[in-house]
Amino acid sequence: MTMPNFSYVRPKSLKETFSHLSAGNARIHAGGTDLLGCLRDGVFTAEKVVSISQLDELKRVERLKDGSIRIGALATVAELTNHELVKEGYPALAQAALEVASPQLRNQGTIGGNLCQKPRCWYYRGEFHCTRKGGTRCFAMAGENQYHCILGGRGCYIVHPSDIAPALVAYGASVEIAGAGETRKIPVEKLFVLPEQGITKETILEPGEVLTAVLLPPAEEGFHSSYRKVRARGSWDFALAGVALALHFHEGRVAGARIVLSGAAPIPWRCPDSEKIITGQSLDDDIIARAAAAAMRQARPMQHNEYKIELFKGLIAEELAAYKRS
Amino acid sequence: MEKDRKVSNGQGRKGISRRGFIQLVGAGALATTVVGDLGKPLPAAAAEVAEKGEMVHVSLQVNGRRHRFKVEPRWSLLDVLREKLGLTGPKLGCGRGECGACTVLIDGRPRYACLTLVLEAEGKAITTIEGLLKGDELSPVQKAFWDNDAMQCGYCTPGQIMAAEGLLRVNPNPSIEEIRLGMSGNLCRCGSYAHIFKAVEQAAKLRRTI
Amino acid sequence: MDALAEGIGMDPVELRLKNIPAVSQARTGNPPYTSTGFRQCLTDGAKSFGWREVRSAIASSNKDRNWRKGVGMAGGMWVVGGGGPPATIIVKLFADGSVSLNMGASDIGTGTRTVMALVVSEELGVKPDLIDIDNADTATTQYATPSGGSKTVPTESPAVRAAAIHVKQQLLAMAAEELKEKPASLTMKGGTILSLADPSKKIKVTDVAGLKKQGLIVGIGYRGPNPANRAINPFAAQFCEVEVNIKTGEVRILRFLSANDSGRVMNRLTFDSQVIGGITMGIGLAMTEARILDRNQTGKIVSGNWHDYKIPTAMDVPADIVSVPIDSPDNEANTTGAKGLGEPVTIPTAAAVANAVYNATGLRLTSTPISPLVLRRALAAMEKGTSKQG
Repeated sequence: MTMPNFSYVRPKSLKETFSHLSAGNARIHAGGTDLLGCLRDGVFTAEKVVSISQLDELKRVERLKDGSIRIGALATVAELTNHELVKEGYPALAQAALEVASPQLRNQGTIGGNLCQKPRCWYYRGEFHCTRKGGTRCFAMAGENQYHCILGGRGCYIVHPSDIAPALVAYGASVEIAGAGETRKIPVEKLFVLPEQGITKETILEPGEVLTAVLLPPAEEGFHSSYRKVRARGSWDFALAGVALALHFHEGRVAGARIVLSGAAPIPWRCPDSEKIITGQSLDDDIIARAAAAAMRQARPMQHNEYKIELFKGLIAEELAAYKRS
Repeated sequence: MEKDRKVSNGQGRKGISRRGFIQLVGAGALATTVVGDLGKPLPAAAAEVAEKGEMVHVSLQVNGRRHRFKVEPRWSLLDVLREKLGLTGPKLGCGRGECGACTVLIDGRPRYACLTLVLEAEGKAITTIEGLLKGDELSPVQKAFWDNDAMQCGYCTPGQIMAAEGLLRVNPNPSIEEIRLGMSGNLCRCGSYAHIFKAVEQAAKLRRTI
Repeated sequence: MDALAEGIGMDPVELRLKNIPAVSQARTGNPPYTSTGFRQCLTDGAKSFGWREVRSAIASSNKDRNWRKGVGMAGGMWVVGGGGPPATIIVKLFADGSVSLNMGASDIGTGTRTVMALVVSEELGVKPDLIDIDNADTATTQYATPSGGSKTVPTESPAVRAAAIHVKQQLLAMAAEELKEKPASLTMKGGTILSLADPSKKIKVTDVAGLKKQGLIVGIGYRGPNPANRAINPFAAQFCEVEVNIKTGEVRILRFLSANDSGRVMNRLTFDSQVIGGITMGIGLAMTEARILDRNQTGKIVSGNWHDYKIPTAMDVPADIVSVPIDSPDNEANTTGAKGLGEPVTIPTAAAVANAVYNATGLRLTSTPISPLVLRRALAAMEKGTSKQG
């Protein structure tokens, strides 16, 4: 399909950006990797493309006075894989970034774009007028749903495509959202919306708003984290199942835990029951098996994706087991 | 590491980045863009705007030379390289960043020209496979691909070579696993990967001896 | 075959070695093969791979690990690969010693042009870089059958040899006149024609007066028929080592080896390219590729792009792919001794992977792709004891 027409604007400041975005059907261009594919495939349309790619104020990665890290929304995924501040303090984020797409896309795609990307459901991306596109039917429900969600679906069964988002949720990171009004700071965990909260939306961003930065809390002693992704193909593929772990150990016991799944649900999926099971415990095989099972207790598989339940259990168990001696 | 030749007049990238590219249009034209707006007055000539379907000037630095032409805002860098500049090394494969045949270097890093709007490439140093040649002499990566028969049909090859070139500029001495990862954004349907890995290993050696 | 070998407690290589057919079992009249290098594929392949040693060592390496290693092998043959008429080639030898080769067949990247230049070079003693090839152009070359079915080399190369011989016969006739010899008592060596009986009687090709006067010699070669009542087939044996995660169903292919009998090895580098290409495509079939229809609803393809139809990437194939060519010219098949290569390589690959997965996990999978979707499901069934067959 050829690229449809649009007007293009490159604001010189965020303030100008907001006014351009307030026009009808304007879309933000950061790295452009997802936007241009969607426009070409007719997933959505845009009257106007507002490119923020040259706003240098959104490119910085820096440590703030309180020890937290501020990552500008335009930091590329490739930068996350090799930035010293990220690699040292937030290995799960660096690992997740390295699992994203392909080298070329990592060089172009941004952290902001990664969080705001559209889902990869083949019905949504294809020629099917599904609920997420304003239609009345979710084709995945009775169709080819092997890659679809087992948790959190209702009326739409996408999985959230980001590898980076679950790592950020595991760290308790926040995002900065700026608009014509006040700038908001909200936890990444609260950025995403389930289909039941808004079937045509993936994030809480309002028209005219821009995700401007990601804020990572200071890395603490005794804090361990990792991200692992299972996929059907070794590169250029989204997660069948992924798990981000952020564990805080004190005297051999888990003092705090976040377990966040990718490939499971329409949003990065936290596993509070599993977190509770391991908190206060020293990790042994029994605790690990119970935690892994608890993560899947609410799972409601469809015809072709029940394999994900055992896959997630295996994956969570394997990842937790790596910390047995921590 | 950056081997892109500087423009001959000595201007840096910043120096050419704004010139003649997107027209600065008046408030009247802007108003048309934002029909349906909440009615807030926009500052006149606030930003660089290209209207829908309108041809605007762009200045590109490709293989060390500066070029100017008129483009539509929706055109990709690949469209312009191939159709306007006649640089047919970068190939159109999928047009959606899923194959890598269009890989070029943008400021020394491999990227997909099909997923880059030409207006987004303005002010950046672009290198296509044509830019690797010195006269008739093949670059180390090209020579290594030749020596190892690291191709069959050849359609993906310019993209593979640019991915390898980009990898070696950042990491001149990659391990085999780093080579696999670095080359993982380029499909080869003929299945030449194992020879491509050998070629990249050899190219790394060749580059070190030059 | 693998299950059969296990059932009777025999090594799968051994089982195949005991059952190498000398005749085609599928064709009417069971014609004998012109050649079968299958035995050598099995023995040379197993030896280079270290089959016996690795296979017996692997079981003990799997204790208490989520990642289980396994090895597998499979054999195969290709249904065509002998080529056949029609093919027509025109070779011109010019007075300056250079050669033009005119051929309808295309080179789709498999090295056809390289191989044909080598055949001319061998026959006329001309360096390959003096051979100019004009091919696959409907304006200037003659009809050829498509480059497909792994038959281009056995189809075209005998016609190339025939055309080169036609040139040589004319050239030797001219030289014989000048050297006062019979054409049959002359030979060509590196651009020179000399008498077999008296090597001091010689003349450089470019000095042959007849050629100088005429400017060029044109030779035409036709592809003759294949031998009657014979089957011409390429054979292959492949070996691989994998690692399977029994918690997640992930498979890593660690290394691959392919031993191929495709008659004479015409050019080692492009031969190896065909082998690694075939294995890579076979890995795609085994591991990642699946065309998916929206079968219950619209009948439309949902995997119609290169993200959803998963061609293997550089991360899906091992760097360690070894080609073991069984270089045995099949002189009964045709005048160059070559059989087809390319597709024959892809035949055993997925089976070898599936057998290695079985060796690692005890799961016998008989459909592809062996993705974590399928394997995790099968592992769960096995854990529950409901199925041993996936």
